[in-house]
Amino acid sequence: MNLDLAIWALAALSTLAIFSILYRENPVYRLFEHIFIGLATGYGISILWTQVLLPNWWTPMAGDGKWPWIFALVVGLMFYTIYTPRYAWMSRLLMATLMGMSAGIFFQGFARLYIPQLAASFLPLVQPEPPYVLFRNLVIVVTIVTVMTYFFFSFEHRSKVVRGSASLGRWLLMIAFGAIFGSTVMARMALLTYRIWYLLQGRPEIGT
Amino acid sequence: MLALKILLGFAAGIAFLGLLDRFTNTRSRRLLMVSFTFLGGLFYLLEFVIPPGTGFLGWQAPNPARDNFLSPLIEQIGQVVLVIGGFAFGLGLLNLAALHGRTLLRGRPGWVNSLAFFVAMVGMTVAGLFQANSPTLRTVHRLLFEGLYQPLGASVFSILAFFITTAAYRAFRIRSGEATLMMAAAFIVMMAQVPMGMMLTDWLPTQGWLAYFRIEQVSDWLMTVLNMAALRAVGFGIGIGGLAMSLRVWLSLEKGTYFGKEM
Repeated sequence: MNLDLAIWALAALSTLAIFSILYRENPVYRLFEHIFIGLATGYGISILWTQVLLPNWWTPMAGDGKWPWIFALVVGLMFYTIYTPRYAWMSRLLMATLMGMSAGIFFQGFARLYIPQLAASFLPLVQPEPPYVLFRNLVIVVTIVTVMTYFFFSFEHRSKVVRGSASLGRWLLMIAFGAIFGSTVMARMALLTYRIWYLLQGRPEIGT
Repeated sequence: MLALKILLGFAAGIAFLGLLDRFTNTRSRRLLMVSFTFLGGLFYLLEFVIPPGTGFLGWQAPNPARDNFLSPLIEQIGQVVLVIGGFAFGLGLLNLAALHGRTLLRGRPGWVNSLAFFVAMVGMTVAGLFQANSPTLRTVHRLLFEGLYQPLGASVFSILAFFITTAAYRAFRIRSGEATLMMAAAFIVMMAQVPMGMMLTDWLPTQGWLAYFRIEQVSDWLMTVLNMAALRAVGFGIGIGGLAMSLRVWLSLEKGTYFGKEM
């Protein structure tokens, strides 16, 4: 049997099986959903081995003779002590260490990402910029300040200025969420259009 | 010889863990956890705050103009963490296998689905790992990847278009000022991406100040100015919250699953 034809038939069947949920819950949808989870897990395993463990761990250890890499496996096995109450503390030790490292990485990330962004956000609001640039800068500065005020929960919004600013921030946030929503819908629509086009285009030429 | 070294290293590592369990009590384990957490975070903090070009006991970075003596270790530590994190994948695998294994062995309703899960997982794993050595497995991998995995993934995400539309319909039925504003912004962005929407303002000139009112221009302005600024503000909030959270984790002030439990 031609491989391209088999792939096309399977892909069409998969697409129809998933779309069947739009009618109602059914066993065919459930079956293909489980197949998808199984395939995704299997794909994850093969990618983990071929792109992470093989080049970064197995090859240096077994190929280049760097035997101390075996200790990474011993440390990795500490994750699995979570299943035994007596040794479970070891998995927490490992998790806590990784979380401490993540905290350190976050410090670096904050300083490298947010601080330059913060400095770049407070744009000039006076001449000699052209009027349309001044307007854009004003919108950016006002949006950032008011939205941040809306998310400021350290004290109660009692003052009129703070209340007004937070309220404006909420309105501006709604526009932003609307824009994100619209663009997300269109991205999903593009995927849907492609799936329908795939079903309608007919089977591929045999032998190509 | 290498295999022996690896085996001995593995045995020594396991023995060390056994000794660690034997000779530590609740208090010392907590101290160990707090110290490891602190040192893990301290390394990255020091690497960031120590000025470039700083050395330690003659230890210098290959590029002193940009790095300090700790910088070269970043990549190596990253590789170790990547490998150790990779071993955690098995935890998820064990959970899935236990869940579907129980359903399958006890013949519970839906056992056929669990069987399909195992067949798909084993098939994809074997085909993915050994496809380089066997033309048959390469064919099987193509069949599974292009015939099932890719279309299933795309279809699952594409049906979200229907769910998102019904959710929007329910949300927009709440007739408030905010909902109207949100709907108007969504409408402009969606219309700007389809030819029919662009036709609405096609009569406006492409040059001059009136061009700013063309739907694609308004949509672009919404996305690149207003949306960018609002998301940046949200990002700053997340950043400050994350920084506070990181400090709490780093200094082991956090209470919860990993920090407040008896060890």
